Amino acid sequence: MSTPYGSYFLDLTGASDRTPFAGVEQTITTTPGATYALSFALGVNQSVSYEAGPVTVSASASASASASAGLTSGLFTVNPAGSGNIWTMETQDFTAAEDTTLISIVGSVGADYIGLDDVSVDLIQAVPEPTALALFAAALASLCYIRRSHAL
Amino acid sequence: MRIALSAAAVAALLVTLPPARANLITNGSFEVASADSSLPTGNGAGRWQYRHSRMDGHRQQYPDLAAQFQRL
Repeated sequence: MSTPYGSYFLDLTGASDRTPFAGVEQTITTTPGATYALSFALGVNQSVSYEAGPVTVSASASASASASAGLTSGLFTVNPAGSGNIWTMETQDFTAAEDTTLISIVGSVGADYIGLDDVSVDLIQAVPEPTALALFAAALASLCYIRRSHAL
Repeated sequence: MRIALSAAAVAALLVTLPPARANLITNGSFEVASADSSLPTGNGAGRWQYRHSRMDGHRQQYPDLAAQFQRL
């Protein structure tokens, strides 16, 4: 097995290759109201029957203070066409509710191999601040003024 | 006047642009520098935790991680 994302990856089937499969979680610092993108790569080996897809993982982002209050969660299944070790990138957006968020990815369906790698959470929409909004409005007003001046 | 306004407009727009993308996850590629690295145990923010003790496998792929799994 190999990974295009460095030298290591996780196999969520663990040592026993039996359900319940394993998972990982990490608490990150977030800004309430901001929107983030959770991305991760899932790997299968389509050339070996017991390492091939379909594989499914459950991915969630939840408020750390109450893990049951999931902000978003979903099942991600990959079964790509082709042969060999294939990695597929999955993405899900969520909006943070607290200043910390628990990211969790757990294996759900598979045989001997559920590859997980390249997990990331990126800010895609910050919470607009009043000063930023005021600056933005001032910039727009200036541009409008300049455009009108040119037109006259 | 127009030049000053243009400069102000561009500056204000730059200030309001969204921040550059930055990964908030620690070690999302699961690279391990040493057995006592910040991965994978611990309850603090920015560390991976394992959901099941069955994550103790596949030592060839993740040797340092496996060593820590076995202590769970």
